[in-house]
Order: sequence, then structure tokens, then C-alpha cells
Amino acid sequence: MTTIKVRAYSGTPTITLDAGQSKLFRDELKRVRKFYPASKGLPAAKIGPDCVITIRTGRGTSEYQLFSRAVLVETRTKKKWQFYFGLLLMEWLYP
Amino acid sequence: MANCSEQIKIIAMEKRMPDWDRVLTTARGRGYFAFEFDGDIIDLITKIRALLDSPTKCLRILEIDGHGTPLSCNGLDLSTVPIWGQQLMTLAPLGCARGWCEPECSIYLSGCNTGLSHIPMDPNTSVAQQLAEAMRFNPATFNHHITVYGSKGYLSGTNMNGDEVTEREYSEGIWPFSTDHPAKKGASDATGSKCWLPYRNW
Repeated sequence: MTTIKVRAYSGTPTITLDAGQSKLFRDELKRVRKFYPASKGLPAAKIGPDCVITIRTGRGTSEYQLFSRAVLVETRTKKKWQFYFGLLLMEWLYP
Repeated sequence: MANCSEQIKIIAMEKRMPDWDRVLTTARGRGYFAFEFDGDIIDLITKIRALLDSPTKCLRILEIDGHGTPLSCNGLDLSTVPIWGQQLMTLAPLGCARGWCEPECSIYLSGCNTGLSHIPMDPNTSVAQQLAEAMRFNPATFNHHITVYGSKGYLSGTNMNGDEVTEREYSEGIWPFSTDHPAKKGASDATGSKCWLPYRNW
């Protein structure tokens, strides 16, 4: 069972993705991680994170931060990818 | 009008900012008080009150320097805007001109895109605009003219140093390792005072 929570960086609002949304997100994350090279480090400009995405599976928890709706950073490793799926995540978070 | 001979300028900065050391070094020469700010508005108000310790002192400029989005700037976000507005208005019983300088004072939200809307179809949803709304001028209860400035793009520099630059879009790295931060609606490439969108509370 996988649970994906998206919360604004400040803490509210927070949403839990439903099964369909979770599948879309995980598929896109898998595709990006597989086909796109990651760079490292947080954005250099004064860009704050839009939201925090927490993925809980039976094997543990991973966390990502979304910047500018389009750049995904893995919190632990600071690896980052272009991630335009973030536009949709923000639409879900702020409908 | 009150005798506001000492107009206080403050820059409150997130400690991990890349230009933290430079801002601290230049603040005094530019007549600013600089201190670390971790987003706790109560802590900020306590520090401001400590500076407004004489009846001739008032707050002229407050610059909040930190990471920003259209929704947030260093602890200020759409959910905490009412608290920030309320707390900042409590400066009023203190110091000269009840805390805020006359005829006008400024708050700069020195993070990226803080003056731009987070909802492309609605131009009135930036965190800067929301803060100005939360401190609305009222002759009876809050008789102060305050302009909240938000940036109109990906910002570097500070208003204090006058070296601010906004970029419409922001890219990092070299392809295929690059990441692009797309432009928000209304963003522009600018320098100096043109980097800011003013939101007035009156």
C-alpha cells in the first residue's frame, strides 16, 4: 500500500492523492528518474519550495520538494529533475 | 505630526541565504539593522519593538529576505498572512507615530516571485498583495500608509543594497543536466526599483 501526501511548504493545505492520482504521479516519477539525468543541489536563486511530497510504502518513506512547480528535489539526496507534472500537483493542492 | 527623527530600517534575513555574510557586512553602512530571521513573526515583532525604544523612533522600511514563491516568503505564506498582518499592526501602540513612520512605510518581500499571482487567472493572489490587504488602512484603527513590495521574477540581491535583479525565467546547469524554472504570469527581467510590484494598503 502506497500513500502519497502533498502539503504546502507551510503545512497547509495538505492533500492525500487518491489511487488514480497516485498512479499518475508514480508513473511520471519513475519515467523521469529512469530517462532523465539528475543534477544536484537546491536551486541557487531565492526560490522557496512550493510543496513537500511524502511517499510512504511498505519499504519506507521518501520525500521530495517541488520548486517553481516544475523542479523536483529529493530531500535526502538533493538530486533534482525537471518535473512538469508538478503543475498538476499544484492544481490539485490549490483547486 | 509627531517628531519622528529616527527612522528605523530593518532587514530580517534567512540565515542560509547565499549572500548572508555580505548583507550583514553592508547593513550598518546603509543605515539598516540586520538580523537573522527564521520565519517566526512573534520573534520578529519582539526584535522590532526592542529597536523602537524611544518616542522619536519609527519603522520606515522592513525587508524580509528569504526564499520565496508567489505563495510565501520566509515564514510568511497565505495561511499565516492574517497573523503577520495582525502582529505587524501591533507595532502601532509603540514609539513615534505609533510605530510606523509617516507619511508612508515600506515592506519588501525579498524572495522570488513574491509579487506575482499563484493563480494565473487571478492577478490578486500574491503573498505581497495579501499582506497589504491584511494591514488595511483604517483612519480609526490603523492610520498608517504601508506599501508592500513583491518581486516580479526570480530575484537576486536586496533592496537594501540596491543590487536587486529579477529574471523572468531561471535556468540552472547545462543540458541535459539543466533544470528550468518557468516564468510566472506577469514576470519580467528587471533591475533596481523595477523589480518590485507595489501593493498599497489604502
